[in-house]
Amino acid sequence: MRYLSVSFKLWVGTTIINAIIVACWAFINNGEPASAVGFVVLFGGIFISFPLLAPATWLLKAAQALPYSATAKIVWVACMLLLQNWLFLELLSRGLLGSPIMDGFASAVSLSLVITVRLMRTSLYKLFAVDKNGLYENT
Amino acid sequence: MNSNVTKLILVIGGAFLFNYLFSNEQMGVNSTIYSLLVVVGIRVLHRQALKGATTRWLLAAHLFSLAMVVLHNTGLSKMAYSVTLALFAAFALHVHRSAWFAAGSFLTNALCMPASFAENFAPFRVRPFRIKSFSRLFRFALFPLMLLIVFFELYSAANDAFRQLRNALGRQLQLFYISFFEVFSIRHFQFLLLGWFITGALLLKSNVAWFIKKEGLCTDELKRRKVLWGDRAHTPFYQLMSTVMGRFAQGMMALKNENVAGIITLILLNAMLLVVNLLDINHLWFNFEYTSEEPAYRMVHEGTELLIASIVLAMALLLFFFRGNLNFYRGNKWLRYGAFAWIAQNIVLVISVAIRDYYYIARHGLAHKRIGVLLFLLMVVIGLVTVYIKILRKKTRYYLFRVNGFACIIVLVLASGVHWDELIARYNIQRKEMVLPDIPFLLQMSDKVLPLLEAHRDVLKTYQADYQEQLNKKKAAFIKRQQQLSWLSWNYADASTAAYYSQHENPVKQ
Repeated sequence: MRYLSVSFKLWVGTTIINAIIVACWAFINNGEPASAVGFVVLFGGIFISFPLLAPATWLLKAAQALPYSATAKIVWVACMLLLQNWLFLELLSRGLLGSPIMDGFASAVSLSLVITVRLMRTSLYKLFAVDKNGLYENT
Repeated sequence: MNSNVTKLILVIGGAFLFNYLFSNEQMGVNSTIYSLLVVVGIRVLHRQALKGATTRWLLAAHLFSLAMVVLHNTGLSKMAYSVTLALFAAFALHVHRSAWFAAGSFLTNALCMPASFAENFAPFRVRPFRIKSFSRLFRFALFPLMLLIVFFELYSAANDAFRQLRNALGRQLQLFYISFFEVFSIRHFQFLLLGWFITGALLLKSNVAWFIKKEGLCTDELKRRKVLWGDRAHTPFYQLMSTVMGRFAQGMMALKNENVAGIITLILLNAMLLVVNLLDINHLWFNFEYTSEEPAYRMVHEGTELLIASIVLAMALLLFFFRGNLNFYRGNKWLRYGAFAWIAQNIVLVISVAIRDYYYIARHGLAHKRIGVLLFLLMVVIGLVTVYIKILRKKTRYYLFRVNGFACIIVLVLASGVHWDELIARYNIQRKEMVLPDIPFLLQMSDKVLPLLEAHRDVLKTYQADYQEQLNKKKAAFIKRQQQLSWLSWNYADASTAAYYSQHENPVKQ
């Protein structure tokens, strides 16, 4: 359950930050109403990326099994989530990832994921630093 | 210098070098520079790494493949280059004897690379600004930022002057972002990350030692083990035997009964394969004639499929009977003879398939798959010989897979030494009077074949006119591609084709 709650936080955080970044991008591009774009990306992102919760939870569990320090596990999870998001976008866009819009969107998703992991480092550290006996790795 | 700092420099420097060498380029002379970085990196980071004999042999194999990449630039040479580099790194970083376990360790290295990187460099993290205050600021700013966007929209819709200001600001930001993403595009970033990933996987040793521990338990020599009745009853092999043989698979006589079952099985199978082989020897080896009812391609394909099925069955069967203590049973003489006869008969079957392939080549010319069949047959013979040694000298399955793994690498590396496309095209064109060359097939080959096709345009003329046009298009595509590449992609195969066109008509920049 702990893994699910952390992956849920990661997923929600990434989706919200991604919506903000895309809204800012829409604002820069003029024309499009930024807030509307932001809301569409937020709710569309929640709806579309919902299946990613399961592999994200599995990745957190896999990271826990690795014989590395908590910091190393966090970096590993971030990289794997980044890879997972790119693969998901590649599948979803069916080869459109080379286009400027999709590339921009992929950049926004990647940036929002990195920011979310950075913001959630305490939760992630607590998750990974505890061993089987419930002790923190440095104690 | 601290080893962690050296690792940091080598991995990050390697990522940037990978990006510079291979971004928008093809493999060529750039592979030499990258290999040099990896070999020097491994030597610097792991001083004892190059002392092992296997590591040195793999380094030699890698250098040979590298030379073939620069010389031939075929898909096979690139594959041999990648495989030998990965295995060289795996053998240098870990203690292994088998290529399969080493490959497993390399995959683990690759999978755990981000963690290995962070583990090595965690004490050296540089903090240019206070992360805590940044995070706090971000958290506080999140909700106001969302509100700001909503109200910004409202005001710009209501106020013309504010909208104009927003548009002017937007245009400037747009220009900035366009130029920013031209330099730092996601594709560029992904490629850089790929370079970081590959360099890290080759240079950094992961903490996961699963494959090393597993291999540590394996030996070449089979040892006699006393298996307790309670333990044996739970194994899948025992349950299978028990289902088939009933009470004969149980009790004190189980091993003897298994030996008898093995002898009967091998006698029956040998008898059946003997009939097949005798028919093949009579029909194929000495009295072969083409008949219109039996197309050559069907004959070869069916023969190969039969061989694959037969070999897989033979290996599985022999591994089943000689998996354990039956190797040490005193009365296993006839079982061993049966196994040797079965192996010999499979070698005869291999020769029959090779003859089928020869007839097919003689009738229809050379092709990749026809050469592939010959290489496969070579591997099959090596596999059968190792099974023979396994039974004769009481070796383990680990030995069998280990030796065959290295045989696979040797065949791959040696096969990369030939430019198969050129060989096939030259052979087929030379025999154009006897066998009509398959022109669409020749036009699909690599650019090294272009001068040969240009020199034999008469072959194309005998066919439809559009084949000439296809050759012209292929030539134009080659020239265009060469103009887009820099010296980093230089290789002898492309350079010779470019030189041919420079001498004959269009100059090509190299």
